[in-house]
Amino acid sequence: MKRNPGEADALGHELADARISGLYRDHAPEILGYALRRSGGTDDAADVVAETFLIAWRRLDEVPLVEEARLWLYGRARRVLANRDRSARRRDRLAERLRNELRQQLPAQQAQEGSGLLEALDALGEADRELLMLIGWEELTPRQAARVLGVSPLAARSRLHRARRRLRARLAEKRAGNLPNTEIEVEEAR
Amino acid sequence: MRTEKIELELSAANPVAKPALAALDLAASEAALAEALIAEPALAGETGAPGRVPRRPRSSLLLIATGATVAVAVAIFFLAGGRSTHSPAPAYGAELVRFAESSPLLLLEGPGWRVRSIGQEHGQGRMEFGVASPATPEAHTYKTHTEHGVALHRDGLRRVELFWWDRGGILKLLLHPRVDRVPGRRFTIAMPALGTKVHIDTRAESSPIYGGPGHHQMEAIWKEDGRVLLLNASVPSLAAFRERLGWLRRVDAQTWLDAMPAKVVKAADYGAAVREMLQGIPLPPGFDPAKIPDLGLTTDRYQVGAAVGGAVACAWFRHWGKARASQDVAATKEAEHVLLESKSQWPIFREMSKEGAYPATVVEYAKAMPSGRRYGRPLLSAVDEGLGCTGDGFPLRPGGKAG
Repeated sequence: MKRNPGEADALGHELADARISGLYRDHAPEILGYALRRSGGTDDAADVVAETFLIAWRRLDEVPLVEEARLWLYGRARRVLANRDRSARRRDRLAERLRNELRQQLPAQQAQEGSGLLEALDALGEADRELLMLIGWEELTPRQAARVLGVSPLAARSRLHRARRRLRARLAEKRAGNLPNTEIEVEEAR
Repeated sequence: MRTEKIELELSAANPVAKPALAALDLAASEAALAEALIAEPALAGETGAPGRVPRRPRSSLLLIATGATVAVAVAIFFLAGGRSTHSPAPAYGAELVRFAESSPLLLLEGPGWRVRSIGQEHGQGRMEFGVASPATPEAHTYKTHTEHGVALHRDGLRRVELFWWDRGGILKLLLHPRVDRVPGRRFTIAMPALGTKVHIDTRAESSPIYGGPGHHQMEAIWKEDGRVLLLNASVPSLAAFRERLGWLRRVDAQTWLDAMPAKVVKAADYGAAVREMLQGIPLPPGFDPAKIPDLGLTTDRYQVGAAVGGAVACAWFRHWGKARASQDVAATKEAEHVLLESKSQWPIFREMSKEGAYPATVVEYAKAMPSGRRYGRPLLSAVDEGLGCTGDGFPLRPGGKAG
């Protein structure tokens, strides 16, 4: 990768370039998957990936090494998703290129049909839902999910137990044709 | 509903399955990432390279063979021994000079310091400089614990190591997921040297043994001619490290070659050295000596010996494996006998045994031949890992990939 010519510390930049390239090659698909599962579509996901890796670039010194880097990136992507302003779409070339590639390579997201699990998941509070998705979809361990969420492993395990119980309850209600909206408000308020 | 069932349902509801992501080609977007980063501000708080240059041992056997410390695991090549009094011929052909220029032509010209050893393979290398008499009163003995026992080192302060990698090599190291990385390593000091800027890490200790009072391992890293170079020294102070750094001089090819100890095989002599080392070694049926590559690098004789003896040993282990599978008792016994005797009978192994444990390790593997297992593992797997047979182009099983 090339950077602005004339900048001091060429070696530092070369090593930084190598690091960010490695992070992108190793983890971009995972971060993209994370974003796709939580955003409104491929365009939004491309924005999240672009923003996440630009943050990683700016804070490269903070990105942990090896396996921990993935969890750090998940955590950043989570914040990007939480803070994003959909009206302010990124104009940079990475986001544009990603959007184009994803439109070509990924079929349009189809609404999931069938078990009612997604609706039950939507009915949970954000914290419960995110924990369950990190473990169920991103295939993290509870300890890894705890790192992403910034909570202790013990808290994550405890929360996971409760989240599963709530999901089972929501799913049973959904399948019984009775999904109360009041519960959503209670969960969100916590 | 049981926990397992809800997990299965959740997994099945994943709207973006892993195979779909794995099939994505994001290579083009990686280039776009580079373009996007150009417009971004520089790294916040950057004072040097953001990560340390990791260290990678080549194989456990080479570490055993050379008695290198595990802590200083970059030591892909390692030899003990001093400078020979025998001087090489002063004139070198153009081709030899060209080979020399494939190495960084740097020498440490401190008072009494000499090249002790050099090891190279494609894209990376190591030189060790040493001084015969104590350079500082702080020189002392320290221990390292290796997987095969305790190694004693008495001259940590009398040694400076220079490592280099080409661009591809350093990228591989940086991106290698299992490299030895030390959290907190930072090249925080920048200073001019050799006409460029070098970055210094004053706390490069990768093991507590280097952290004693008045004894610090420091590293400087810089780039020149498309290579990344790293100087490593154990010193009592930053001033002492800077002094050693200041002793580095760029020299011409002939001066550099003149400085090599006699035990170093010059690049142009590599092929001849291979042929000479094969003399007196029994070869297994079908072994083609021409398969031992002429690396054309200036490197220690010990390393050439390991390449030659290792290739023949690998071929014998392969021969043994085939014989054992076909229940050819005579061929099995022949291979066992040849390898058990290799340390005492093969001329190059006899020579190498004075400097390192490579031949002894081959014999250790040979001793495991009757049982076919070493430490509970299939012997051929252990041999392949230890000697690097497949990687060096001598696979131990028919159809095994080379290279």
